[in-house]
Amino acid sequence: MSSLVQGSSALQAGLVSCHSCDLLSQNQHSVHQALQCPRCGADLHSRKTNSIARTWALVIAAFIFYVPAMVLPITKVSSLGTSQSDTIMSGVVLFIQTGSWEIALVIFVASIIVPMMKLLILVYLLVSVQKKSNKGMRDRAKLYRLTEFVGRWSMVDIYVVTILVALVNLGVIADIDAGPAAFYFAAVVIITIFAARMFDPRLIWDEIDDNGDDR
Amino acid sequence: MSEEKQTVYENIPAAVVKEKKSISLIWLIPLIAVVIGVWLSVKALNEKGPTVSISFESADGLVAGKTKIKYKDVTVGLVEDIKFSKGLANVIITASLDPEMRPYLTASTKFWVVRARLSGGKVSGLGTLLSGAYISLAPGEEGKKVRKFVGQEVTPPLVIDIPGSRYTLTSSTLSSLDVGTSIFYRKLKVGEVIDYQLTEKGDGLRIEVFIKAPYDRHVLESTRFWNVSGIDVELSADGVQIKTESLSAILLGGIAFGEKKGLGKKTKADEGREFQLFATETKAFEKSYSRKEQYLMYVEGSARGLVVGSPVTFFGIHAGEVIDMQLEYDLSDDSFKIPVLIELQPDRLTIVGQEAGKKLPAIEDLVSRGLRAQLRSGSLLTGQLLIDFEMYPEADIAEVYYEDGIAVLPAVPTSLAAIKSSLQGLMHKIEKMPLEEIGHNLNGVLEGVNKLANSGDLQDTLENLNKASAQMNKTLATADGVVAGFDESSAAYQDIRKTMNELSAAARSLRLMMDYLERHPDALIKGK
Repeated sequence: MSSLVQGSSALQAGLVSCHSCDLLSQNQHSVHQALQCPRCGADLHSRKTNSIARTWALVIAAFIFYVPAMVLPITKVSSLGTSQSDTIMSGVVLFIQTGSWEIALVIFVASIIVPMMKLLILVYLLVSVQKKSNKGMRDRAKLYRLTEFVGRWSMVDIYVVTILVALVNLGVIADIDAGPAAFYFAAVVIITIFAARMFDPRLIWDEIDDNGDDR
Repeated sequence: MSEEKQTVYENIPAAVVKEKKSISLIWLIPLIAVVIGVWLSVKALNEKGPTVSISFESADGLVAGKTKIKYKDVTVGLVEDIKFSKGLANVIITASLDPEMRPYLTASTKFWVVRARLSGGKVSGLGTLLSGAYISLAPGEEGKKVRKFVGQEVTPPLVIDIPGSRYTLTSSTLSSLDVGTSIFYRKLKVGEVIDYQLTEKGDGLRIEVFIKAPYDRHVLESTRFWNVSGIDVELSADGVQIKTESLSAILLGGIAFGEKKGLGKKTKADEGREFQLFATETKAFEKSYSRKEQYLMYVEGSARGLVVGSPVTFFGIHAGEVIDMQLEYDLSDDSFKIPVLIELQPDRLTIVGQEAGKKLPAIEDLVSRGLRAQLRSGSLLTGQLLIDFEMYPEADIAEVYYEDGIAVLPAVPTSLAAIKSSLQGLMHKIEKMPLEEIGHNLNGVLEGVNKLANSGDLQDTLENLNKASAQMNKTLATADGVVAGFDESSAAYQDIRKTMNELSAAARSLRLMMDYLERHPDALIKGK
């Protein structure tokens, strides 16, 4: 039973399934070589192609975009001649100062913590896979699922901004504009979602019981 | 196990090996991210201007991260931080400015806080009511770059980069004026108050005004400035007159100017000239002068008739008034003295002939040339006295000296005293006259006359005169008879009448003949 749980994956069994025609074919070559379905000619992948490199690329891009998303103003509120630009962090501070710490908490968690945590989790997963770690695989799988699940919810901030921009448009009296950070923040969220999708969670389990049996 | 595997998967075909791409396109995304990141940071670095620190006494209305720095109402910077200086004496404001302001941040750059205020016919800084105060900047001239500034606590005078002239007005009070108060010329706004300050003595104010370029040529030497704050209501026989410059002047005050009619120079006033600010237009143009100079003089003899407010005249022209007088007893020479404090209005004196390059002589010079004060009778009826100044070149030499900083002017004896002394002289002469002798002689004459009247000669003469007149009467009666004898019934009369008739008949026939001859001149030859 334990051998089954620890057991062999299709890859370890030297098999690969075609995504297109579902033909099971033998993979007598290296994992990292590009294969073709002998029946329908579709590309065969035991694992997502270039998963680690692609995820890394997107994670790095997301990290770069994270900086302007935090530093630049996300909203520009003009009211009766005065205009005020707020970054995400200054907005949080403002909400705390005005006493609405619940809203501050929501924004802080959704806009600052979650994107950063996602990126850090992905980095951790990538590093652990690359180091061929075989510890805490279940936990890492859970982290991955969490990342994938939570991904779309990071867009809350962008939704809030878009709704505000659309709603508060009273000309001179009050007007809200999206700041440049909105673009970068959206980029961070979207790129992180793609990065999570690019990551192949099967890579976590590849290190199980890899005791030199032929692959 | 592998053999088993092979038997199980015998029928499974082997996958075909495909050529592998060397580098994944996915790396374009971080590349783009890097490019955008670099571009953003370069942009941010480019946009980041100089950071300056300005110290103010108070940060009233200033908010870090919100308060803007403006020049000509264009935002050129933002206050980033507000901190205390060491010892908590001041606040130090750290502000970032636009890079384009970099060359103008020199030692002469000025910063001051602008708050909302109502002045000068306009609501300046209305925006600050909503947006809060902002810091205004006046760029400095080129020079060494400075990053630490001391903010101006008072709004500095208008930064003049517009053509025009500055003048100084002197006034005893500020009234409702303020920096920015409008200046009107013929009800046209032509300038504004740019600064005011108390004089060193504290006896008045010096108000700096700025008149814009085309209008400053209407500021003449004889121009008068007056306050037009509020409404000037005048009640007179003509009815009620209400004068006001403009609505904003009613609410916020203002200064108007106009030229004085009549005598006075019509040349343009030099920039920086000092003018007096009058309270009203009427006061500006009536002959009143508030530049006053005080002098002291000692009156000899009685000052009866001299009161506070008595006029002081120069060559008979009103030039000031007595403002105080008192009686003093001088122990040093045991005498009574009456010091009289007078006030002269030097503006009443129009100075001409400046082209000669001379200056008005000092009062000392005038005194040495004979300027003297004198008590004179202003009115014989009331006995009021006045003080008159005139040149007495032959007067005793006197000098101006100062008592408590007030010049003491020499006086000549009052004219009343002079009259008194000449009257006394007259009395002396009258006294000296030989009145008794004259009386004696007169008596003798009268006696002679008396004798003559009483003598018989006069009687005889009168009798002869009587006789002569009786004779005369007779002669006249005879003449009457002659005239009476010549009447209608007398023969002489008849004769004369007859002769006259004859004569007139002759004349008639002569006329007939003449008529005929006129019509028939040939009758002379041919006959009738």
